[in-house]
Amino acid sequence: MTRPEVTAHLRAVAAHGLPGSLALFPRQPLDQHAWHELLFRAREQRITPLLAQAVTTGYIPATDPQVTEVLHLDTQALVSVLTLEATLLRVAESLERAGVPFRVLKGPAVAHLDYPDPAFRDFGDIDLLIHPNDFDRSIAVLSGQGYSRRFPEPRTGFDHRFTKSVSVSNPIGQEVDVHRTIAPGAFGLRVQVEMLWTAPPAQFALGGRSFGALGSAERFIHACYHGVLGNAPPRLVPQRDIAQMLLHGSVDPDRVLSLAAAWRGEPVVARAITAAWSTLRLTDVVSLSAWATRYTLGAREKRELARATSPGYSYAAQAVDSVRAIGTARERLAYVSALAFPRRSYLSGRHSGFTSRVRHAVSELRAARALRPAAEPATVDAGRSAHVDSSKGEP
Amino acid sequence: MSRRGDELPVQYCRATRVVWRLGHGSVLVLPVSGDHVHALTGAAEGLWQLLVEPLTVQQAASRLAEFYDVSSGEVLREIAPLLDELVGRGVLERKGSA
Repeated sequence: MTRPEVTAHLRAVAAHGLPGSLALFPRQPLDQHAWHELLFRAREQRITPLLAQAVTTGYIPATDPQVTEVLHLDTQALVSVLTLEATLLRVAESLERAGVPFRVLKGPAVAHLDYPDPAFRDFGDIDLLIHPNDFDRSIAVLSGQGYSRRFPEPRTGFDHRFTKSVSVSNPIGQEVDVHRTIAPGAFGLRVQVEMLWTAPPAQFALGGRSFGALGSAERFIHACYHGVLGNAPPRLVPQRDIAQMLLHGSVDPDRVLSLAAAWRGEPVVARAITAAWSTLRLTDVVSLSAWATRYTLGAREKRELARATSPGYSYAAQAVDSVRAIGTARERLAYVSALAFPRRSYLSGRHSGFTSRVRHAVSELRAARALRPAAEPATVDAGRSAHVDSSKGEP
Repeated sequence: MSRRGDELPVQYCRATRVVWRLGHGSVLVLPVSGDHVHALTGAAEGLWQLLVEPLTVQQAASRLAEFYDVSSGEVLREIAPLLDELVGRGVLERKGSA
């Protein structure tokens, strides 16, 4: 468990450069133990660039060896990001040769579109949105480039109909997450995917070409889903993204609210904003932060959000919730059948019998139901090292 | 058919198929088809900043000389081989007749 003062410093680092943050930096250089804990957690939370900025601009006092250490760590992060961007360019060329359109999500898109300098935003993988009609083909294209799936498809057709994303990685361990939608579980199934494709894309330049990303409102909502539903406890970098977009960007609040309502994602968006404002100790008020503070969750929304943000929210419980979000009886049947009678390869390492899987799902759901809805925004423990990442390539 | 007098002078500019970031006292450049990130410092960093637009070696030398307040000939002797090395590493591109 991270010491409280280091957690407070991490939050101040994550808020560095944002207007109106009350988060406080240390007044004198940290002792070596606290300093190394801060470095380790900053890297884990992918905020090393902000830490380096805070140190080099004098906001965080540091000894000369500490300055050297943080600059070295940040250079490592920059090199890692560059190798991922080179990978993005190669993957983009392969997909285009196969006639598969895509949008760049999360890290690279946010770095180039929402930060004054892309060097301020670290990321650890590549995320692409692919239209359901092209989904299977995109996986085949990446397989042809040496990428292999993290998990097999439960049954043919499951990915392009129901999955949130499929993670593939290349032989040197770089990961590409191929997304059909932008949120896990029921929330993702409620997103009307066509709306992500009909909106005009934002464009950014990289490696001598232009890339399409989600528009600012859609990008913002995606950051909210990632911030609240992606990890338990929530990570700092999506919270910084949320604040960055609202305080420095040009997010249209009316469009955000319209999309969130259409996708029944308002509870997540409201929670994401209030959590970011609380974690980063922000005092500036913008229209969406005022809306989020006023937003009152209904009893059903509270229950759903409590389940979806619980560290114990398993894939099985997520699947049970997802069934409710699927529109037609026929689709629900297809979803349940795929998970109840999946391919043998899908079962390796999982509950192997149908009864076992159903029992497991029911017990997970009971456990999740027993959770009390949170009265306040999720407590953000930036210092906890064990993260539950529910965003990686399963139903 | 081009006449000798119409040939464009050789110019240098940043390669297009590269990704880069401003680092701490350097510019980090990775050619997309390469395996190595190049950390450009000193004159190499100055050239990178300058070559956002195509320039001849003489133009580049003249601007760097003005910036560093040294003679253009001195800079020219230093950067001419450096430009070729950076082209060879895929960091810069050469345009016009070689």
